[in-house]
Amino acid sequence: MKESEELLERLIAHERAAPEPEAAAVERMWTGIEGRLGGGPPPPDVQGGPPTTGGASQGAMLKIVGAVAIAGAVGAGAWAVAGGDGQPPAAKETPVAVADRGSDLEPAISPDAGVDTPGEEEGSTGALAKEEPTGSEMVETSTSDTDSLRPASRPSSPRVRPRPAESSESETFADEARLLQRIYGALKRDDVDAALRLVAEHRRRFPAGQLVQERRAVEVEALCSSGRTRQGRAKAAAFEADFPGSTHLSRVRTACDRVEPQD
Amino acid sequence: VSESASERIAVDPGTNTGMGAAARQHEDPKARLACVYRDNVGFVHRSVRRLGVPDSAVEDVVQDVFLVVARRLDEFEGRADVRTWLFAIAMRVLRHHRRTTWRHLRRKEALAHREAALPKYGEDMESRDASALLMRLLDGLDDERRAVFVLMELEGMSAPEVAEALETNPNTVYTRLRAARKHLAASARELGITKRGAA
Repeated sequence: MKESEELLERLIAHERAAPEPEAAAVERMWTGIEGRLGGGPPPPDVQGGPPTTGGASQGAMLKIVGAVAIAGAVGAGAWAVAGGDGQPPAAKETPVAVADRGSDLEPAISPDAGVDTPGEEEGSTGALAKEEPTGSEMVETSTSDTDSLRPASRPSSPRVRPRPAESSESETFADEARLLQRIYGALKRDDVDAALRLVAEHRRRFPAGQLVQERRAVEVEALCSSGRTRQGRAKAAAFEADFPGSTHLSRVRTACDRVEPQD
Repeated sequence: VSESASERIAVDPGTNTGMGAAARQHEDPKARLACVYRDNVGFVHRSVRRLGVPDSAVEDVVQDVFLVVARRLDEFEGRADVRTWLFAIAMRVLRHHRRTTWRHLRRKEALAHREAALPKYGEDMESRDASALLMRLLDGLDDERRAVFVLMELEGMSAPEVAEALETNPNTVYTRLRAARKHLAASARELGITKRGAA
């Protein structure tokens, strides 16, 4: 087992160092793009990434309009067939079926393609909560957390299926995720002091947050890259003790290896 | 005198902006696209390869991704890393091709793949062989786990970033990563790959 994991680590290290595409290939692809922009074969008709675009809003609006129109037509037809005497069909059920069919009828790829639905993946929240002691909030995670990560302009889903109401907890998760992004941003800029300040802020604001493991891993990296290797190694050991099965472990273990100690 | 492709791409030399301010400042959509292309073509190229696109189709897929980008660039609000947006587009382009043009190609390549000898693993193994070996192992993963593995382990993205790219939550990302690693380690054992070399 250990041997195959070591092998995996080596393969990952090799692949991380994979070379960029050759200049000739870069030029060739760009020439192809230019040619196709000027009237060549169009690209596949796919949605361009809901998290950062407003494109989904058009799709959502079309779906809603389509659903309402078809629901109206179906309802009127059914009422006419029944001679207008019977009860009209249940209005709240029709849009569900139509909306679902509408997404199937999209020409290429639905913007929701590949999106997890709650419970789709075994242990997507529960199993993790058992294995990773990152606080009680983790058990409560739902897709509403994901929604909170999206920009405010992202349209609400056209699904008629009832969704759990947005809670203050999802706001908290969004704040936590944003704070972690800022920590990574500071580290990317090599602003280690700012990163450590933000780590301390995260510790204070989210003592049992869902991203505690991330924060502790990034703290080790920040300490090591600032030359505080003794502290970094101590934190790394504590991390390993608390999260022995963590996917960050190899990163945490080696964080101080290539750093000149300054403490 | 006609410009070379590299000159046409280099609309804003000397900067590496991703989809930063310089790229957004260009009013000419093609210049903006060139900026995004120049800064991210490497990421898109290696991502589609790592997602399992047949070698013969990688360049076509990269072109498709950037043509979608060209069409939708105005909609990108710049609130997230452009790479997460590009990856999401790449995933969709990939799925589209899988359902259409590659069915036949993939079957042929899969057959050739099975018959091809495993690259020898060793301390002195070349990067190309290591890459081929890893891709062979990655082929055993489903798209979702493969995407998480590629973004986290190979691109070094954080769980929140990956969650954003894949429109899921960080817990699911962690679960998929753990499952992917477990699966890959088991596949390595099954294929008989050890430190001493392929069986």
